[in-house]
Amino acid sequence: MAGPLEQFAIQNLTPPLFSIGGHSIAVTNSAIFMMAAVVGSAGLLLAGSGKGAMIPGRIQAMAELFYEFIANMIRDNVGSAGKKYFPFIFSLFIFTLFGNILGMIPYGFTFTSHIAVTFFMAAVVFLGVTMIGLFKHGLHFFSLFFPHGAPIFTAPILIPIELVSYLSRPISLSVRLFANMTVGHVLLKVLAGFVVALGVFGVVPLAVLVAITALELLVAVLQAYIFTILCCIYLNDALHLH
Amino acid sequence: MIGLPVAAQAAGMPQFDVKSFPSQVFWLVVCFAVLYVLMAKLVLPRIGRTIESRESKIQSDLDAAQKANDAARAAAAGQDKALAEARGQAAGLTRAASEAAAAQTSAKLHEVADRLGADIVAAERRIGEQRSQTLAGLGSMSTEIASAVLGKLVGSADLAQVARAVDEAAKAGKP
Repeated sequence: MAGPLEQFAIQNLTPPLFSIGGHSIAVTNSAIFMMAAVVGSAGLLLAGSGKGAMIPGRIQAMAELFYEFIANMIRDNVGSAGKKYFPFIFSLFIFTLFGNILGMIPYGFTFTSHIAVTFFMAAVVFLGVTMIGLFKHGLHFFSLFFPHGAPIFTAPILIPIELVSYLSRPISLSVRLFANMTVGHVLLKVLAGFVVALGVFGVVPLAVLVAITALELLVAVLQAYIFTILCCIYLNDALHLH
Repeated sequence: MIGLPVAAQAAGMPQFDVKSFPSQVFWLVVCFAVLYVLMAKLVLPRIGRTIESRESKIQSDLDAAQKANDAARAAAAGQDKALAEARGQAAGLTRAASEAAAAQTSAKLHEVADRLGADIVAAERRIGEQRSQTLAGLGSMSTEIASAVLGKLVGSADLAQVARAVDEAAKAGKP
């Protein structure tokens, strides 16, 4: 029986296609699931947005639900200034959501359980948001690191704390998603091992496994939501400097 | 290589296999870029247009309904006013007609009453005349009858004396 960590192994499914900066790139199981997420989500949303019927059908209602959900999230957390970033945040949510959910399919692969993926996304968001803040506010952007109205003598303590908390954002953002997805899948795998090992009494961990699977589906949706809403909050900080 | 990554690699976590990072990041960038372009250029504008046109349709339908409602209310108010006017007019006409009829009736009644009164007066006068004539005739007739009766009984009678006696008897017999 495969170990609980084997499911995370990146496997080359083709010989290296080409190389970038000395790193050979092949189609991997992770890449296949990223493509599946893109094809699945884009297929669903294209089908749901094609007709543009006055009275939406099921797929159109679903597509509009996604649209309204993210539009409301941006309106509530960023305000009207966030409209420009709607396509990016929408794509981020859909990509993360489909990555998380596709990972729940047995024998599947969860590309969001890899720190390389989550950290790259978080780093792009972090750098992008910081640049937006710098472009919009110039040097005034650095007032973000000193809460408005705090006594000036607290600056030597507050500024380092704020700076560290700001710089740790991409780490917390990426580790949260990666750790949640990894731990969930490890737990499922370990429990599945118990089912086999306990024979007839394996029904007990099997029942737990069913419950945990439902929980993991919830976590998959919830973590995509949390990842997206935190990006919105960071964007709001950069645009409006609390 | 220190800390968690080393420990994790020792435990064999594929997530910390740095060799796989470039490939993962490459595919992430490619896939996300494709998704972003599809969303930004196709899906989101389409859904946005659909939602917007639905909202404007709902708004225009609501406006039209409001307008129709206002028109219906105005028509109902106009009808109520016309009805009230007509009712007032009808009441006025009825009153005038009934007054005219009453006046005509009472005029005719007066005329008839006057004519009847005159007739009654004339009839009464005629009755009075005839009665006095009759009464006058009655005296001479009574005298003749009495003298005839006396003539049969006594053989002869003084006519003046009989007349005097009849007059006295008539006066005494009157109640």
